[in-house]
Amino acid sequence: MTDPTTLTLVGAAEAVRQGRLSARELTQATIAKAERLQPVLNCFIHRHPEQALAAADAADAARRRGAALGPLHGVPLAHKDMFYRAGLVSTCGSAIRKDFLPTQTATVLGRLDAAGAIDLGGLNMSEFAFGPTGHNAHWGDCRNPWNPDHVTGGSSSGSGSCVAARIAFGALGSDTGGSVRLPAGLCGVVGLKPTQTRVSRHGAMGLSFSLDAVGPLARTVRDCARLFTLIAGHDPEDPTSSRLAVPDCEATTLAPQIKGLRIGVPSNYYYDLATDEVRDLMRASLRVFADLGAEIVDVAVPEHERVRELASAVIIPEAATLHAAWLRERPHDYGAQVRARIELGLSFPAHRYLQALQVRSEILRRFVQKVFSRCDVLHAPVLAFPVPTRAETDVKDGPSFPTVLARMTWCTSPINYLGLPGLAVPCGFTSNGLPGAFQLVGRPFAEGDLFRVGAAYEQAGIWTERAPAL
Amino acid sequence: MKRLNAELVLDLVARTLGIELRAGSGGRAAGSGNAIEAALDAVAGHSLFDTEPAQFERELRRLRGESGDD
Repeated sequence: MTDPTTLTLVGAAEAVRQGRLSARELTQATIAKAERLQPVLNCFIHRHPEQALAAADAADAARRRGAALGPLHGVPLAHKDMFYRAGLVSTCGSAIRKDFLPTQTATVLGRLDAAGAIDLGGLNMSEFAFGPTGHNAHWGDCRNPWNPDHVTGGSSSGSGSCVAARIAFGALGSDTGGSVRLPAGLCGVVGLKPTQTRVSRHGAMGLSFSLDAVGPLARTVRDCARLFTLIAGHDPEDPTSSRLAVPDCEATTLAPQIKGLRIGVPSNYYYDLATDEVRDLMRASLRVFADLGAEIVDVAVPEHERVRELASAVIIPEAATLHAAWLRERPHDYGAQVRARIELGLSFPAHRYLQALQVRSEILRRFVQKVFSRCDVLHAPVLAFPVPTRAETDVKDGPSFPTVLARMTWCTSPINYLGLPGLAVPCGFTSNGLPGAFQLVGRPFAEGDLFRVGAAYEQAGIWTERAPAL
Repeated sequence: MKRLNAELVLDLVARTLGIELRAGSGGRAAGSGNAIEAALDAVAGHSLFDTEPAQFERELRRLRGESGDD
């Protein structure tokens, strides 16, 4: 029989639903794979094999008695270790919270539980979700399945690595400046940063109240769409979550048509740091879209250098607010880089912070009017250069760290300030054997459009069929 | 008029909060602060209502175009 861990999320759910595979068989296979690959990839901070198998047995029993089965019935997932589950430790990738026992369960976990998913454990992440490379001073670096010497991208490092390694069938991450799209793109899987307010943040660790977004990573666009459709939508526990109805985004991936769609290619900013190899990958992906009938148009993106700085003006003071007490009481329990970054926000002027929020809607309006009057979807790299090694980017709080981090998030962080949805889709490999990816950016709440366009590309190519040799 | 040195301000705030800073924090604050100040000087806001999350969500909904579904 085929190794069940090589199935897609949708394929695994279908196999369990039809009884071709039991939830226990599927879960056992993923647990065994996680066990084998943990020394290589360090994806997990903690695993719960007994609980996972008990949940799998319950799922099999439910099927035997003819109970209604959810769209993830018996499918093993794992999530960034910052989504709280009552009674289970959630470290947030830190030493400070190594024994933190939440008393509540994140709404997104509750929704996945209700859909029948099985939770394998907490995944590695950058400390307090504040780092774009995937290094972690406390729990060890998470490693890229395509080459463990290279970074996974962060902060949802374990989510990217675990899904790419075909351990879990999907994972949740969070994205404040690129933290879903980077690990998805750098590990060769699909990842969505939803529109701000689209997904509940109740029971998820915060970093920047105004910019944090919870999003899924999965092996295919359709898998990702299924996870998104399940977790999105208003939550009374998160008063900032939108009441806008959530369409069935998975349906948009089934027979995707993009004939006549206008795909915008930024004529400024996004290619400022791009290497020839990344330009070649982007051009090749655009050729696929053109062959599918899309119209490729050049688009100037307004005031992006400024938008990057405005994002910092929001993140830095919000992070300092959340961390001030720990900075006072446990400064030495932080990794050097995270502490250095948070300290910057302590003296950030209140009026400047409010100003950065005050102009956000106006800047979003200008962006939407200028960009989406010319195109339906914007296409840009996730990372402007080939995936670097862990050694190259292990800069801690040394003098080069602001530059290294700025380069990593160059293409992703503006989208967080704008609050727009962004879908990272793998599109081939650079000469170092590591994945490359583009991101599709759409109007607010246009996740369905992004999934449709991403699925059209994916179905025309072969990238999701390639898996790392592990 | 003389502007307060960002390094000094960070040091004063940290002392007020009882926080011990890492060496070099002040210099980094000055470096990142300059770029942010320049960006903020170039934009003008309208109302403080715009700082509310609900207001931003309304703007997102207004700008969604044909996508989404109430």
